Amino acid sequence: MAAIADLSALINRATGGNSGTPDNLFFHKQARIAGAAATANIAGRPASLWRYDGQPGPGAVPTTVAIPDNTTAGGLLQADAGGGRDKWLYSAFASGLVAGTLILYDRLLHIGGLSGTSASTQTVGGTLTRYTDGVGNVAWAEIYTIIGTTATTVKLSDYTNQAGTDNQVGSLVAMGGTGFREVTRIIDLPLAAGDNGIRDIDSVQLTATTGTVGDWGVTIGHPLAYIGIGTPGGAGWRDFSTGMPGIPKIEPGACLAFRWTPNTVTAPEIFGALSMLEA
Amino acid sequence: MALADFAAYRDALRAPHSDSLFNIGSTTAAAGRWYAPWATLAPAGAVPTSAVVPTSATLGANGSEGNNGVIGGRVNAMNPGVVLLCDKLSHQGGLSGVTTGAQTTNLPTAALTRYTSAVGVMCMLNVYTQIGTTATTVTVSYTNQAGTGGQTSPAVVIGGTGFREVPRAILIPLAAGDTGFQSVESVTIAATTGTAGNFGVTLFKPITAMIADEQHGVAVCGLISGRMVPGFAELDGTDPCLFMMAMSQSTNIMAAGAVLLTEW
Repeated sequence: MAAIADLSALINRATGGNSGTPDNLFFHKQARIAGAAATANIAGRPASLWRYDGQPGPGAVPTTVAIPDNTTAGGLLQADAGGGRDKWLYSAFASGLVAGTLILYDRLLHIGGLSGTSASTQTVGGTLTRYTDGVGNVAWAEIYTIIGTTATTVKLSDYTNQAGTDNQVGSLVAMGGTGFREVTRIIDLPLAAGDNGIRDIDSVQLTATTGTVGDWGVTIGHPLAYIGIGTPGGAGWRDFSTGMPGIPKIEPGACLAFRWTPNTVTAPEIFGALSMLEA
Repeated sequence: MALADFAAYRDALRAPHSDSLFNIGSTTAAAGRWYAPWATLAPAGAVPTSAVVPTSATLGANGSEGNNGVIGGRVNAMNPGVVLLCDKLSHQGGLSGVTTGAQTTNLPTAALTRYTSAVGVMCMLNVYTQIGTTATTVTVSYTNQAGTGGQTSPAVVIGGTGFREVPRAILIPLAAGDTGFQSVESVTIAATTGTAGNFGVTLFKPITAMIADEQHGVAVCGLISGRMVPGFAELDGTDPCLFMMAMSQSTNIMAAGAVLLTEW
């Protein structure tokens, strides 16, 4: 538990003692983007909720590479811990219209404006400010405007791994074509053998054109919590004081956001809460 | 004053200062959608007309008996789902399902007296008399947590099956960068739903969610027993208008239970 000594300390801080500053942050996400119905999901394939309407309000399509933080629209906009303390997530829940798994992550870096027709390397760049050792950071392609119907592959063509080794090249994965082109679709980008994180990404590369430029980007995120919603109308809950992975720390400036692994094609509506305290 | 430690928590659970009972009568529902049975709870609240700030003295409110800390609860539900304890901060009624253009009847909402920063304050449209079968969309003009007026919410569906029934709660999203509703000035439906009915704006603050994960079972909810997030919640003041929202896995919501409160 690091700074939280034991269960008594957690209870004390969660009820406002010892500068615990409890922060119970409720949120909802609607299955709509900019007031219009969101694109249907693909069962079992991840989708981004970054642009979903809700509370707090939605995120924008990124353009140039940027480091989102806790003031960036689209994140949960939580307050940072004060007084030199850290912020900790001790429980969470989510309920929804459809079943699936909600993944809370810290959105470390994002870029948009990449092309679905260019087979050249496309520059990402940027410098992480959180989880800078790279361990556990994951990267994905995120589609903002639909790309083409031609199936091809994509890879991390030049990245720095958790050990600081540059010029790493990831494995190819499918991109473009049905199920790999739709708006909000996330395509996870694998690492090279032996790697377990990312410090930076210099470039990504499609193997061939998908047929339509569209607009896609690359996001680096750090997963924090997984909340399963087993059935429509049901809820998943996590008590991190008793369950793995322990109590996740929320980094100062964290851009807390969600991705979704759907059980069905219906775009999700989510309602949930994060319980946080300071220690 | 905060709970000092686990022993204090245990003692508070053994003898909470108040045991606020709730009873959500049989309510037809669409699975996975929120309902706010304010006017059908036991005891039932009155359908609001003019904009007012409800308190613990308002008919329909679950009282806190002067306590400010939520430490647990229990839910006996006919079907699995979620019961959400909320503080009703401001509400009004008398809006129409057929009037297009900005509706200002009984608006703006009454000024918040609790959670006055408005951060985390949510907005819903609560259906009091069934509106029409034609699906359309709705937006609200609101003042955000920073006091910026004239904000427009992104459109969401209203009217049509699943979006018209009593006591459906239609959550209103915020504009980019906003974190809460301070007030709502007008409501605009894009087209008629076909029936006037009656719906209204409610501003509310979620307090804690209790998860009923078993049909006909009793879910014991709290930090240690789980099924309650957050496991601890502090109310703003001692006269909140506590009420329940609910979501079911099935086509019916029926739940009874209690919220355990103490003073810290």
